[in-house]
Amino acid sequence: MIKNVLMIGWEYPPLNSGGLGVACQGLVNSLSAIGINIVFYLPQRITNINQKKGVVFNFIDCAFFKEADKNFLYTYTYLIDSNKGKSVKFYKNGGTLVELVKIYANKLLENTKDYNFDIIHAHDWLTVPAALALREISKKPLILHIHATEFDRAGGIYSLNSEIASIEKEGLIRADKVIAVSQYTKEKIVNLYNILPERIEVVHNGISSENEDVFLNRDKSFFKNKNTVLFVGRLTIQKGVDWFLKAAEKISKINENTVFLIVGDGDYKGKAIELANDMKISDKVIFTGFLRGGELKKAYKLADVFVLPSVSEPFGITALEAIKSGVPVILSNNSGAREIIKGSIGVDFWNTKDMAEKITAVLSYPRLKNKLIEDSKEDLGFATWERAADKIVKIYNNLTHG
Amino acid sequence: MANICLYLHAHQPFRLRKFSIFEIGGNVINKNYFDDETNNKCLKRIILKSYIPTINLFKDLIKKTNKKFHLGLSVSGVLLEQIEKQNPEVIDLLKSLVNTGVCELIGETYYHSLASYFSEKEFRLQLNTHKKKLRKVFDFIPKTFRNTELLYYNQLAPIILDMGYNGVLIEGADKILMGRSPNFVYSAKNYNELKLLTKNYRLSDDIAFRFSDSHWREYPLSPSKFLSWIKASLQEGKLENQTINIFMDYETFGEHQWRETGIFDFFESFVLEAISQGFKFLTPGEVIQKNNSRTEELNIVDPLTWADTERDLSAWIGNDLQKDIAYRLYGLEKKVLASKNAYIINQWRRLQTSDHFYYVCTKWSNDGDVHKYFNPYDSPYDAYVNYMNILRDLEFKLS
Repeated sequence: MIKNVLMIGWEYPPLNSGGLGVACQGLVNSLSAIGINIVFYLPQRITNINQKKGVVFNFIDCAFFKEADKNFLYTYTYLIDSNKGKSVKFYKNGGTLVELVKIYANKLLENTKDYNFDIIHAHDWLTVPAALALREISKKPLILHIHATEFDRAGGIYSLNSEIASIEKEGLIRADKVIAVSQYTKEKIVNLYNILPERIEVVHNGISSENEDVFLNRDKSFFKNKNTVLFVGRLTIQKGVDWFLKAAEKISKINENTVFLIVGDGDYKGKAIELANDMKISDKVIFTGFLRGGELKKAYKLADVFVLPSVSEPFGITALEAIKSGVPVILSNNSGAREIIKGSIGVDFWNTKDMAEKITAVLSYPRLKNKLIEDSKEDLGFATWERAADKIVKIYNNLTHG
Repeated sequence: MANICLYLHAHQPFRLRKFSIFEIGGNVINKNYFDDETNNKCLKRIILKSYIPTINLFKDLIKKTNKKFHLGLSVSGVLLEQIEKQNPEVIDLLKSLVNTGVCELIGETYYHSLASYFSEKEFRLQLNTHKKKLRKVFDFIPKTFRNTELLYYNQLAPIILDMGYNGVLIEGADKILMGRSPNFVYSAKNYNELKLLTKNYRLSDDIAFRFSDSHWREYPLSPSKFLSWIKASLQEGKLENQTINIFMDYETFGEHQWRETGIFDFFESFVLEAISQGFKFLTPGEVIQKNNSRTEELNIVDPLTWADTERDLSAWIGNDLQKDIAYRLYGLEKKVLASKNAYIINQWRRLQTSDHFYYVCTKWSNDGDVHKYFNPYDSPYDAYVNYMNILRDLEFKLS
């Protein structure tokens, strides 16, 4: 039986830009709850981490959060410091993100000598150089957990960053086992990188079953008597916020009373605001910026329907958060969450007419709304971190005894 | 020896076209709600894969066995209408099968609807419409009845009798037989003159659902194995009073079970072997005629159908969405009829076809696979939205 796991991560709440950090936290908490000891590495110091028993956090100081650099185009452009409530951009450190990833690898190696571990569990390409080097030295099996591929981040095969893709590929080839957050992602890995399907296990993300309700009186808010359509995600091409706005434009022409709440931040924000302006719907679209914790929960509470319009979404934890708050969901057919949420309506991100129709239907037909809420809540019962942890422990044990 | 009663049900709905929520209302009065192109395409495929080869097989068997092979057949009104319009040559083929004199046509609701559950008036009207159609096309007056999805319960007996039928095909569900064999003829509660033939669902489903399932431990099914199961289901005593009722979709042949599965060869060998072993093939009407004396009653209080493990109406009006559209649709009856607009009335009736409700079913597990097979929509929610959009449009026209 595996007891000691060394995990290599990149971000972690409360300092995270999105799903990767949330997923790592969900996994760490649920694995430690069933007796797995975890040493978790991060490339920077993060304060106020909610630390569970059996988990040790190690911060490798890579010193790259000092200065803004506007040239980063990829996912991890932004890290949001919730304590200060504003985004912090990477310090380029004289090099690229890829170089930073390599610095992380070198510094991490020096630091792991004091620990005993049975297995290495690394998250996403950002940790691949570190994980491969550690595997080489320690001779311990490596699990590479893929939360997103370069294909997802780039929004298509033509805009892939080849340097990142080659690191990702090397990790996938040399890892002893790959975990994908969805069947959708597994297929991407198989088709894009020619990895044998037998080497990839699918472990869907989950959501904690704890109930953390927030109080909000909608009738006393701006949203009283308004239909609210919610988007939550990084404002990037990958997340499809532009397609969402195009659907919003169509709805606004017909329905005066619908507002669109856009929660999140990212390099596409300026363009999104411009787009809303050009469409003459800026009075209907509200950009809140990045929200977390209670503020984010309030946004869910205000919503009548949640839309995940992603161009490519390996999983989409926000969909689970919406469901947990009792909001019906419309999900991109290119998303992992859609695989496990049967109580959802699927949509092709590019078909904005269809998206507009589906949003309008959920807003117009109360029985549909209620049925979606009811059915998706049922699905949520199967989407817990506890289930994910059970599956992962089986993978650990198979790997070390097989 | 015992009897075998084969009954096949042929039906294709008028599938709805994609109807946008933004299209509701507007000035066009006679808007077409149906997807003519898809319907024609589906029909063409099924005719080639199933209807024609199966008619030919049956005619061949009738010839080979010197008319010892008998069967019952129902064709929904909406299917007949589509065939007449698109592929009239198939009507001639059907006629030639009926003209052999050993193929009994079974009566049903013209629109393949669940009207009996919602409106007696509408139910009676659709029975009449179907009867007239059979008379006109085949010069045939049906005496045996099957309700849509084999829906049946006690209260329907006097109506069905009154409409000129003396027998009904129903599901031989365990919950109504309660240990009794489905191989005997029963009668309606308090109406001994209305006979009930109960489907042997195990043996029927062995062919209809399991035949080509390679995970089934009996796979592959051979005619002699199937015959041995039939024999095992018979009780001691008078064999000629016992009938194995094999009821299934006509489309089992060549569509649900493709030709490549060997379904046609299997069936031919099965019929020939059964006859050589002394089994008698009877039409439903012939079975009833043989057993027209007093028979045991079946008490069927709750709606009984042939679908899913529950054998009730839950596949069509089980969830809130299905109930919503069904009650809305039938709630329009008075307004629709009062409009006296033949086009609108016809569209309203086509919307009653049970398939539309089936698409909105949210039972995922167990029977979910069967549901998925028949469903043209991505999800039940999509099916509901499309149907609701049309219903709203119809309501708008009537207001």
